[in-house]
Amino acid sequence: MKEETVKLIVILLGVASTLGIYSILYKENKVFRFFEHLYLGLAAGYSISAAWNDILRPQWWTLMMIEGRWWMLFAIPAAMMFYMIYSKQNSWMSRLIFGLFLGATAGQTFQAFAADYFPKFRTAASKAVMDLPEVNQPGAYGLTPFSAALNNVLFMVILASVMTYFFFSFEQKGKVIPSVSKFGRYTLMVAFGALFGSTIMARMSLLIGRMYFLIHDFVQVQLLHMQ
Amino acid sequence: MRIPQLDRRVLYMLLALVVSIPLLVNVPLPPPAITPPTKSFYETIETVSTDPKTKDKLVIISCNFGSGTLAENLSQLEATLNLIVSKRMKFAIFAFNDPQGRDLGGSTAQRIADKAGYKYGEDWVNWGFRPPQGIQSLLKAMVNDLHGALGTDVKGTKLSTIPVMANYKKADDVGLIIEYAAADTVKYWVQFFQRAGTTPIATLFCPTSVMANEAYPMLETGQLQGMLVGLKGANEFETLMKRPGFATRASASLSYSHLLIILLIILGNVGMIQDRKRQQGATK
Amino acid sequence: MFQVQHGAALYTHLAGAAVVSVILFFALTLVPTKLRRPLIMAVTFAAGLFYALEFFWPVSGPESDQKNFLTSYIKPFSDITTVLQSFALGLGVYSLVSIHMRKVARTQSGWAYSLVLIVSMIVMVIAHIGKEYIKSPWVHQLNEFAYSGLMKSLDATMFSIIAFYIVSAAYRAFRIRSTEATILLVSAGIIMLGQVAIGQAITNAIPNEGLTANLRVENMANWILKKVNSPAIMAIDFGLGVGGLATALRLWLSLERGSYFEEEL
Repeated sequence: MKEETVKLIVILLGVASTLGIYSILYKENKVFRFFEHLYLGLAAGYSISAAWNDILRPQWWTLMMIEGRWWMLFAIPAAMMFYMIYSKQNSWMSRLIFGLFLGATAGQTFQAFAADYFPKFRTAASKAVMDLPEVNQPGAYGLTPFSAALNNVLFMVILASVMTYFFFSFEQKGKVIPSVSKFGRYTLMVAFGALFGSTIMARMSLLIGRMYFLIHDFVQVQLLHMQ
Repeated sequence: MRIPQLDRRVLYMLLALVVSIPLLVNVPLPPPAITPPTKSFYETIETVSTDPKTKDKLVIISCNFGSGTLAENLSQLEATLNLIVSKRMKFAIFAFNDPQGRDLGGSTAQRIADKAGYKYGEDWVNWGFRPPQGIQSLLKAMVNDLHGALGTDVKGTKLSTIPVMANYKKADDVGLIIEYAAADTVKYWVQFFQRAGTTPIATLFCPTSVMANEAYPMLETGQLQGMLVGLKGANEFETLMKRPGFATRASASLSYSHLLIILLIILGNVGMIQDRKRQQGATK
Repeated sequence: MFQVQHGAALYTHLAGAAVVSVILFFALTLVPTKLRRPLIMAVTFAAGLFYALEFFWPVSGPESDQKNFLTSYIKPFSDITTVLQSFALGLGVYSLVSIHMRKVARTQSGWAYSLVLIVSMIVMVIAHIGKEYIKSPWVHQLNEFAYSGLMKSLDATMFSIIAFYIVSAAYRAFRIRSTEATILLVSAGIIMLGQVAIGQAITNAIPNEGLTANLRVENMANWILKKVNSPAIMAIDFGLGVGGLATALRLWLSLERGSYFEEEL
């Protein structure tokens, strides 16, 4: 098959699958169901082949059969333990191997926490007085250093308020804590609004990508031979 | 005037039209404002590429996205790679979250590198994909030994025999990390690699718009030096570089689709107020 | 003992390893019930201790190559756990295939779709793994059709379809019914306008210097994102981090409770 023919078929398949999935927007139909199941099958197949091509072959099979590290064969009985979940008598063996992964993940959490949160909070806490941007520099918004410091203090206040809102270890009584918590709730709403705005942009971008494919790649380039 | 109850299919059609028309005909639009995260993103690349301490160091292009977010991540990758090659910086493609990232990033890099006269193995390299399960340990091992930890490139050639990698052996030889992602994978670079060498490595992030909100704190605390937010970030970057691409072409569709949403929210709320008044009138 | 072997010696060693594997596996099935839980706890603890010790143990050596006695084992241990995890993918595949095969075998309603799923899965496996081994162009073309033609488009379209539902939700569900909803809507509105060129054009007439710059919609959006969104997200993130750390400790020390952890072994 010529390269151009392959390219044309790839685009036609892309158009068919795009329109097939979008057909659900009109109503539930068989074409959508077909492409939905096709997608699931292809995605599952891709995961299997990626597991072999990118992990098992280079990190296990090649090491064992080509480089001669015969002890890699012990991975098979270890992996078999996962499948003991289907055995009534020996399902505990699957726990053994799951336990290994739970433990390893837990052990790595210490470094992840220290590396992620310590610098974050150290910078945030010292920022209020240390980091005063020059007027008209990015992030300064034409503010004086005093206003910039005020912004940094506001940053800390919001941080503390939201943390107070999520603090459930004791009942929030009195005047101060519920008010701080309420302020925290309102700032959370601002953050969620921002998140909503960003979500819209993300989804619209992806839709534009598909429309561009249909209009540019298919209609303009393939059908009308425009560039 | 009463706000009508529109059928959902009418709304869908409206959106399809609003997005498609600007792609078919040229709709005039003012250039986008360059936001501080984009500006600092651009300036970081400028600084790294001119600073004698970093200009000859390696740039890691970490492509952790799949075909689902191509519209956002690929436009970011194209826009930024064009700048990287114009600065004649050496780079390495890498993926650890989705094997698709290796292929999508690799083919894009190949195309851009060919145009710029870059040679594979001499000016750039594709490290390939490494599974996400072991990424924490891999990054830790990479800090002191890039060649040993990564082993081979995407073609199976030992990194130690690839000319471009001859001078790049550990984290201290890396001058810049750019992460293109549909998830918060930049945290692995920040947690295990960025500050593990003798000097912190400048780290830039190109997330999808929806992931950007979570990354703003890292921008505030200096863990990230710049960020391109989704398609609009790519559009701003293309404007800065004066090199229009897909993001610039999509800008009008993005703008009008946002206006449509705002208009529909307003109409929906006006309809609700009208209904409420009518109900109050009926009970009186 | 663990030395690389080639040729006939490799196969002899592999056969020996297979025999030892079978014996070990059989021996594990004989572990008495009362020893099973302590064994699981010990394995969990040891795996966690390896990483925890490696992190907390003081490092030494030249500044650019600081390590402790465990650092060089991190990579091999991680590689083997990655391999083991990949074998676990079979659990999911078995579950998916058995459900759909049953549907096909019993010709239950929608069996044809299940057949499509199984066939497409097999085709993708043949095409994607085959392209690594078979030089013939048909495998590469099949891979192009299955991956570039179908999967890439289906993946991108599935992600994009939410845009249509957002439009419908914006018109039907996004209502200002409380103070919180109003704040959320105003914030979302500013962000939406501030992110796109046409929204920014509304305040383009305002100079982008001095105090008035704060009235430009893109600067307002940026201020919200950096000064309000950031600390709020950071606080949520910190909560998640502390929660994650606590859960990790509980799992590591086998203190976690619940149906999975308390089941009879």
